[in-house]
Amino acid sequence: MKTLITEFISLDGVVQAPGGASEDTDEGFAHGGWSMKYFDPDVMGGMFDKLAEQSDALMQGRRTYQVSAAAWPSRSGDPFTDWINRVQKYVVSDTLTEKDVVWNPTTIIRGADFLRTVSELRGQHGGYIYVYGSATMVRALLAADLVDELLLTIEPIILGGGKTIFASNGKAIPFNLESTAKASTGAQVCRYVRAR
Amino acid sequence: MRVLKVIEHISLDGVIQHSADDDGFPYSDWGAPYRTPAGRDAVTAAHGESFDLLLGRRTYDIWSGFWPKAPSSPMADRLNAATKYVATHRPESLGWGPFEGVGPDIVEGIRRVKSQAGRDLVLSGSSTLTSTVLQNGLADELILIVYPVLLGTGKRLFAAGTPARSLVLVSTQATPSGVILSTYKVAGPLQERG
Repeated sequence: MKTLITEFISLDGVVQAPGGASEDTDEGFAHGGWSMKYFDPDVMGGMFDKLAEQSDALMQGRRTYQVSAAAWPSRSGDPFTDWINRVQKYVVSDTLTEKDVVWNPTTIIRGADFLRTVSELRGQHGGYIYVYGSATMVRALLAADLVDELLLTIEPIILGGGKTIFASNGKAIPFNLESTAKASTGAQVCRYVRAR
Repeated sequence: MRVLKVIEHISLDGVIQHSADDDGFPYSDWGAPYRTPAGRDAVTAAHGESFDLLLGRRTYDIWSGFWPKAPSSPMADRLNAATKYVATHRPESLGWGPFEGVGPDIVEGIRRVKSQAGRDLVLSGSSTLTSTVLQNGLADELILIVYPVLLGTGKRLFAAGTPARSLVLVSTQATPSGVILSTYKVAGPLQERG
């Protein structure tokens, strides 16, 4: 399997709370929901559906998982929704317990086992391990060089601070630009594949 | 009133440092493997036919060791011909002309130069000065030349505390080596939510 990281990201590299005002207000982040106006269903909708179709797992950090688990199970009827409710989910958390998990199937991964588990999954046959949001987890994946593809939807906005997925560990990691698509809103969907 | 364009060669994780300077940055000239004729032409076109430069002192010093001796090319000729407005406390030590000091109050100095009639102003490199420009809302256009690599260290374009801004994507193109050159116009502050 391969890891596929999808993020809505500002020009200054912020990925925090793209979808809603109360999604994540850590550190007083005041721009929650900033990404919504840049969504272009014609360019982006089909793309995310298609990637989901090629994915056999969803992996999330604790916060993204809890926001998602509160939203998705009550929905149905489009390809992405049906996929995400059906797919094998992994949540990385040291605090969640089995009884917190109601969005099935979900497997809890403890922090100490996280990188090893991802490495094992990447050694197995199968489609993508799909990731969105989950800034802390993605930063750990990038720091460990366990990211195979990075799908960045780069939006024409500067947020002036907030959570980022990029580690400051001094390790250079090259990618190849696989494709770009320009949305009518000024967002650009850029697909990067780890250069090996 | 002049247009101030910020043009930066930037990594996917926001780094615009390209030389070791004095801080041990280990990836000098990291953009080199991605250079292509198409990229060079796109960058030259983004600068425009003629312009003046706004530069921080360190970038000015690095460039003045290179461009005056560089072989003639559209870019070299334009950079050498541009008036260099330099943010410096030691204007007496400038040598690569034509130049002018911005003055002791950098923000005021940039406002004064912008208010003049004249050619576009291009600000490139100069991470300290660029932060000042962005923090004070002095940039009109942002041209980001984004390279497909994470560096994980180095001076970054956007400091925390840069005021939130909406921009408009004017144009974008990708080079054969995977560099994306995008031109944005700065539209204004974000609307308050709630």
